[in-house]
Amino acid sequence: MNSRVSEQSNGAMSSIDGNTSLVEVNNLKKYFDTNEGFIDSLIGNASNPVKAVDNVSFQIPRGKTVGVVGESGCGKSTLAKTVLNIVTATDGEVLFKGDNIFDLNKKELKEFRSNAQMIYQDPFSSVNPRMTIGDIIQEPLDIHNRGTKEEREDRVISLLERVGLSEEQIDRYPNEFSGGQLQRVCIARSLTLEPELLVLDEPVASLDVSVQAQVLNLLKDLQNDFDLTCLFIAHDLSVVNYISDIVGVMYLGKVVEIGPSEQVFNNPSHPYTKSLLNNIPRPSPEEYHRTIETLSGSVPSPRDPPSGCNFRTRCPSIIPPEKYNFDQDSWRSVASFREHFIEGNKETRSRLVEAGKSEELREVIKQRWGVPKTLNDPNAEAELEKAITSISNRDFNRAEKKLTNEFMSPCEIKEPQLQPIDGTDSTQGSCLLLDR
Amino acid sequence: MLMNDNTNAIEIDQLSTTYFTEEGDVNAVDGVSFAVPRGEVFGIVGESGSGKSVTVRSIMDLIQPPGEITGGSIRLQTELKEKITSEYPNAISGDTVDLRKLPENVRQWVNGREISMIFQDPNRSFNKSFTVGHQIAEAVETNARTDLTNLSNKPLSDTIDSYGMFEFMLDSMPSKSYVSEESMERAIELLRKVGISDPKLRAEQYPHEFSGGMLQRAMIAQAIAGEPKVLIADEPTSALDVTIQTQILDLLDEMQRELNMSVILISHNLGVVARMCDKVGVMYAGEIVEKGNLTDIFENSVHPYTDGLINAIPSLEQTSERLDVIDGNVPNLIDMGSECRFIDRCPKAMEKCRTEPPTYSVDEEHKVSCYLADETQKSKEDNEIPMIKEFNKNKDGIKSDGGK
Repeated sequence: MNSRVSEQSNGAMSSIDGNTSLVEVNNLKKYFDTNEGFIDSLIGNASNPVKAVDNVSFQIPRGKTVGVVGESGCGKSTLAKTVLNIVTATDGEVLFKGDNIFDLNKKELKEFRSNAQMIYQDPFSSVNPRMTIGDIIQEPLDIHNRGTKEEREDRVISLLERVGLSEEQIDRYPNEFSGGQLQRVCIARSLTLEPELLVLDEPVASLDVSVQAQVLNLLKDLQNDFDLTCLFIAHDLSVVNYISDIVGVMYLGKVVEIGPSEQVFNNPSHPYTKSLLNNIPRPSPEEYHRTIETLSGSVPSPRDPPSGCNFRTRCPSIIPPEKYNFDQDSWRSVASFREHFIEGNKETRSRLVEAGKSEELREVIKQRWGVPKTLNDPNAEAELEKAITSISNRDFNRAEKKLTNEFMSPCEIKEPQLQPIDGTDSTQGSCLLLDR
Repeated sequence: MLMNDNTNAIEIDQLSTTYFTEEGDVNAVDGVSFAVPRGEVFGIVGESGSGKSVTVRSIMDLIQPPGEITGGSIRLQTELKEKITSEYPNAISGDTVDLRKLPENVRQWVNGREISMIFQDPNRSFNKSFTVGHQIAEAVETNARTDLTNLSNKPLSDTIDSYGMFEFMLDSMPSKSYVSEESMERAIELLRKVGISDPKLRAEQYPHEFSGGMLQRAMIAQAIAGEPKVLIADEPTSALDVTIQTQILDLLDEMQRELNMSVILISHNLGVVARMCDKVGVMYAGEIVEKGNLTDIFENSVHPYTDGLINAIPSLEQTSERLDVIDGNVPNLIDMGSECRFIDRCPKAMEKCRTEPPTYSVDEEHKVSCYLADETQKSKEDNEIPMIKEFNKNKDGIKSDGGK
C-alpha cells in the first residue's frame, strides 16, 4: 500500500524539491463514519462516511506559508487538524522532516507536538479563562519541562513584548482583553517552544479589519524572525493572498487547484477558483451593482458527493455531451433540470405533471430552470422533447432514462485528477477542461 | 399642509442610545443623523462595538434595559391612517411621523408593516420548534390581523402582563392553529418569490433542514411579508460563504427594486457596502464620522478612520509587504470626554482635536466630523485664492480700462 501512495504522490507536486519541504502531505484522507461501530457492523448498517478530506497531497517548503481556502464544509479545518495528528487520519501519510507522524510512538509524538503548534479561530475559547496570561503562555514550557523557573518567566515576558503586549499585563485574566489582544496571547503561547511548524485555523476570522491587519502584520514579522513554516487556513481569499506563498483551493474535501498565490489569484484556471475570486466584493466604487455570475445552488453534502467531478452540479463551465453542439448557458440549464429531475422529490415531479401538456410543461421548465423554449441543437431538442413528452404522460422512468443517457456530461463520468497547468509544474488544477 | 420636497422615506435625527450599566453610562449611539431617500440603499460600516447594530435596533425600538433611547427623532414617511394622525397630533412633524412619539402599541403596528428587519444569523432568528412556513405565515397573519382601527389603547406590556396560565394553556393546545390557510398560501408564495425551489415542501420543513443561505432567503421572505417601506438588514451575509453571499445580495437588490423599498444595510465588509449602497455612513464609537456617496467614501475620504479602514483590507490584486494598520483598539465608551473619539488612534491628531470636531460639509452630500475637513477646505481656498485674485485683477483691469 505504501508503494502505491508514494507512487501517486510522486505524480502530484513533484515540482518542489523534496529536500526543502518541511511537511509533505501524501494522499491524506479523513473520513467520518457514523456507522462504523461494532453493532453497526453486526446489523449490517451500510457505511457511508463523510469524506471531509479526500486524497489531499501537498508540500510545505521550509520557511514558506501554504494557504488553504474554501467555503465552510470543504474540509479545510479537518485538514489542519489531521496534519497535526489531532484527529487520526483514515489513510495517507504526513511526513514531518521525513518521518510519518502517524507512525510516531508516544514519546516521539510529544516531541513532534512541541515542534508543531496550532492557533485557533476564537481566542476566547482556546484559553483557560481561570488562568492568567502569564500562566497561559508559560504552560507549554511547564508541560515540556524546559528551562528553570526564571528562564521560563523571562521567556514569557520577552514573548509578551514581542507580540505587542506589555509586561504589566502578565497577571491579567483573558476576560480583560479584547479579541485582537487575546489572539496575540495565543500567538505568543504557540511560539514558546520555538516550533518549526505553525498551523493557523482561521486566526483572523473573528477580528475586525483594523485589528486583523495588525495581527496579519505581526504574523508576517514573526514568521521572518522565528523562521516559521506555516499552514494557514482561511475562508477570506484576500487574507490568504496577503499571507501565503502557495495557495490551495479546496472544494468538498478535495484540492481543486494549488500553486503559487500570484499565479492562482491572478490567473486562476479552475472554474471554482474563478468564481470564488469573482464573487468577492471589492471595496471600491466600481463594485456598485457589478454583475457577478453566481454559482447555482449550494455545496452538496459531503456524505453523498456528486459522481465524477464533484463541482459539476454548480460549475458554470460544465462540459456538454460531445454529440451535441450547445451554447453553454442553455446546456447549464438543461443539466440543472436533469439533475433535479433525476434526484427528484415528489413535489418537483407532481408540479411538472400538474402543468399538463408538454407545451405548458416546457414553460414551467423554462421558468424554473431557464431551459430555452427550443435548444439551438436540433438533435438535442428532439431528445429533450421526447423526455418531456414522457413526463407529461407520467412515464417518469422512461423520462429519467432518456435524460440520464442522452444528456450525460463527461464531468459526470470521469473524475478529474490534479494535473499541471500550462505545462508548468508549480500550478496544478483538477478539471477536465484542462485536458483540452 | 405644504408637502416637503424631499422624499426621504426615513430620517434619523440626533438619535442617541445609552446603556446605563453599573460601570457607568455607555453612549452606544451618540447623536447619529442620516436620511434614506425612497428606493435608495444606505450603508452603515464600522467595526464591532461602533454602535451600528444599536442604531438600527433603536430605529426598530428593540432596545432592552439597561439600554434606553435618550434622544433624537426617527421620522418616517408613512401613510398612517388619519385616526392616528388625529389621535397623536404631536407625533406629526411635516408629512412625517416621529416614531418615538407614538405609544408602544402603535409602534408595534408600524414594525413589520412599515419598517422591517433581517438579522445576521438566520439560525438564531427562527424558532426551531415551528416550521419555516408557519413562521412566515405568522408574520403574514400578524400584519393582516392587527387593524390599526381596532388597536386597543392599552400598551402591549399590559397585554403581556395579563397573559396568564389559562392563556398559555389555550395557546399550547395542539388543535389551536392560529395560521389560516390563506396565510400559509401567501407564505408559500413568498418563499417562491425569494427563490426557494419546491416552496410547498420547504414550507413544511423546520429551520434545521435548511442551509444557511436558504434560511436567510426565508428570513427575507418573512421580512417582506408586510411589504414594508423601509427594510433594515443587519449584517445579512456575514454568516454566509462568498458564493452564497452573492446570491443573497442579488436577492436583496431584486426585492428592493421590486417593492421600491428603502434599505438600511449594516455591514463590516466594505466590499458588500460598495456593492449594494448608494450612500454610506462610517461609524466609529457611536458616531457617524463620515458619510457620503461611494466615491466620497472610497476615493475622496477625509476622515483618517475611513482611510485606515479601507487601507487595512488586504488587496486581492496585488500583494504588498505590509498592511497599513490603525493602531490601538476601539475605545471604551463609558463616560467619553468631549474630545474626538478617534484621537488616541489617529495618525493626524492635532491639539484642537481635544474638543469635539463639528460636522463639516465637504459638499452637499459628503459630511465629515473631523478638523481635517476644515484643513482641506482651507487648502482648497489657498489654491483658489491666487487664481481668484488674478481673475479679479484682470477683471479690475478690464473695468478700469473700460472706465477710461
